[in-house]
Amino acid sequence: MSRLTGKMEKITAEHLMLLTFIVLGVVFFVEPIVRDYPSDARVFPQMMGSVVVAGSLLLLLQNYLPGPLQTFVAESVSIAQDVEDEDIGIGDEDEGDDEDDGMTEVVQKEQPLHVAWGYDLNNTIIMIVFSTVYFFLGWAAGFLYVTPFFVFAYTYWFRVDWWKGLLLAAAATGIVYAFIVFLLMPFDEGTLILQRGLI
Amino acid sequence: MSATAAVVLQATPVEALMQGIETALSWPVIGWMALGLLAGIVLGGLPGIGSPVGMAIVLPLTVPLDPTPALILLTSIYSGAMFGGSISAILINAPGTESAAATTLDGYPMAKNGLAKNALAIATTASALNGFLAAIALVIISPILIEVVLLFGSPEYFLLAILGISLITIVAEGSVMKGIVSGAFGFMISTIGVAIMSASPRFTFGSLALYEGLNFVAALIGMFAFAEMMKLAVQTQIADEEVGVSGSIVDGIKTVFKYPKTTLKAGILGMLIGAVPGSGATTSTFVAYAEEARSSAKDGIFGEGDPRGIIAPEGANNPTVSGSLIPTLSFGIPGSGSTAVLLGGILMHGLQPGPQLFEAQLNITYALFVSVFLGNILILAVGYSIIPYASGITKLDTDIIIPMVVVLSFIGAYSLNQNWFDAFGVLALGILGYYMVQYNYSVIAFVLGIVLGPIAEENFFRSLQISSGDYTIFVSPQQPLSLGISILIFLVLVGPFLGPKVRELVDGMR
Repeated sequence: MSRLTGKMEKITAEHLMLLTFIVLGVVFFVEPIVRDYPSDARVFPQMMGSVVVAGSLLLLLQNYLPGPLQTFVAESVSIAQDVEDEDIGIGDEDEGDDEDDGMTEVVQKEQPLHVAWGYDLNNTIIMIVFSTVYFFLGWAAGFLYVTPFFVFAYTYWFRVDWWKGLLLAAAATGIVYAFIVFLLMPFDEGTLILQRGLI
Repeated sequence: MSATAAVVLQATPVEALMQGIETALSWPVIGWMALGLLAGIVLGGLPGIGSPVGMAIVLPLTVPLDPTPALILLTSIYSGAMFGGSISAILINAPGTESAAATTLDGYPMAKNGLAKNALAIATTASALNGFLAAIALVIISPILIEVVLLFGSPEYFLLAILGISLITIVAEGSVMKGIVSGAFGFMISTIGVAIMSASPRFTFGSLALYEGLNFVAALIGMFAFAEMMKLAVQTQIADEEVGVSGSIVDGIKTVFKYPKTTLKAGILGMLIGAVPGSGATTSTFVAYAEEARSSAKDGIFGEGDPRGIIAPEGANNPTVSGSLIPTLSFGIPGSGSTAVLLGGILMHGLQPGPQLFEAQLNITYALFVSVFLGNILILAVGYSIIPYASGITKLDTDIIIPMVVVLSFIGAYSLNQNWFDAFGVLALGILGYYMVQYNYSVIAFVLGIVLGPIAEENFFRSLQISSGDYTIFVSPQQPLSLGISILIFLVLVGPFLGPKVRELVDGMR
């Protein structure tokens, strides 16, 4: 049981990404057969699906591959990286060290709300949650009405001055409104509520 | 061919050039160019933003514009960001764009020594001067380019798409296999929707929203704008208000002319490397810096504020824009994220990279070249004017940029086809792009796969139609160009692994 838990802990986002690639690759290979696509619609996606599945499998199992194959699958051969790190030797320098040399005067931003509340969450996760909620609410009720709340809430969460947040919210709403007026986009209409819009 | 016909054929490129100049100088095109440059300088100056993000957000907004001003706007953002990236690189040691990373090596030490204005003036002058010269070179070599482009047919264009992705896999970080998987995944995703050759719906699962497939512009926005915002969200510092800008602009300008050899060499390297499909300004600037550090090692103080350490990368970055236009416009192979977005713009506006852009639409191509030329003059004017206020750009808090970019990403993607699937694609591909970058999977190869997928598939089938289904058309000695490109693909992918073994064998035999 503990071995299984140990193995589960070793699973990274990369493994999940590769598994997704494999599943999708299989779908792109099998679906044309199941639905009987004509040959000129079938060959290219199947070919690419095969490459994705084979490549992802090799990457997933790279630790168990024989030497030369493992080198091909796992080793980076980046030309640019060689130039950046070896020819110039910037890899030897710790760029981060320069922060306390007197010139780069940077200020730490105030801690966002989740950190202040004691939750040790990555800011990226919060950003994804905000964006996902914004997208689905915008889809359901119309972007015009959701946008000011999203922008103000986001900036407030990340401790931007409230008046700046308000200004940004107004600006973002103005941009959405411009899309409605000039590009005739139905951002005042929601898919679930306010279906006829207010403008 | 009659004499009259020959005269008409010879005069056409000249006429196209004149038309291009006229278009680039006309109003409001020149206004879009100035706006693009300013936006590019500001976006390029913001660490973590850079030109691909700016171009990706602006891309859907160009829908109402004609192709020429739209492409000029995008190219101007690209050029502006190339210069803008140096501002934060010099002032706060945080390159605004990856291509400005080499500038930090000597630019920042110079600023620390109280010569920030000199460093910024060197960057402005070297960037604009070489960008200006490279744009002229682009116009001069375009007739040769036209001849080369016309040699290519369907098999070659299909193979070039594969070669482009192959080259990107060896330039990008991460293993070749990761690059191949990224590119193939992009190609695969591009097949969602109605098939090109037979009008059959593919992988739509009964959903009408999927009939048009995933819009590649939405993919570009997701991969470059949204994913970048995810990265930016973890940035916990902003520049303090007291970043000083001291020194002399005039002395900075004079410094560039003190080292004409360095400047010209950087420009040539920048343009040549930019013209290689798959390599962008990040490579060219580091190569130019490394070459200068090598050739001036005797009297150089590289890493401690040597002005040549700024001239070399900055002198290389803007010519890379001109150089990268060559494979992007002629073969549809971009060298960087920015040119991938530009390619997206070309396709979105109904243009096709390749022969058309060098025949019937040559005036658009020339207008683009001329705009790069004019853009560099504007960079010079704008660059010198903003130097005293440059530190203002570095003070912008990223937390006010992120929500705005998210809003623009969603509404921009939806506006492409009024399809919620595209807006959702921004979110889904943004998250995918973020993790791809984290694990060194080439985002550019993936995007290139999505953008070039339909073109590659169409050329793949046309090739098979020509050969009556015989796959050897891609390696047939009767098709020397195809054979050559196929060999090149093999060498690019396998060469880095076989090279050392061959060398060992040769050494062993000695």
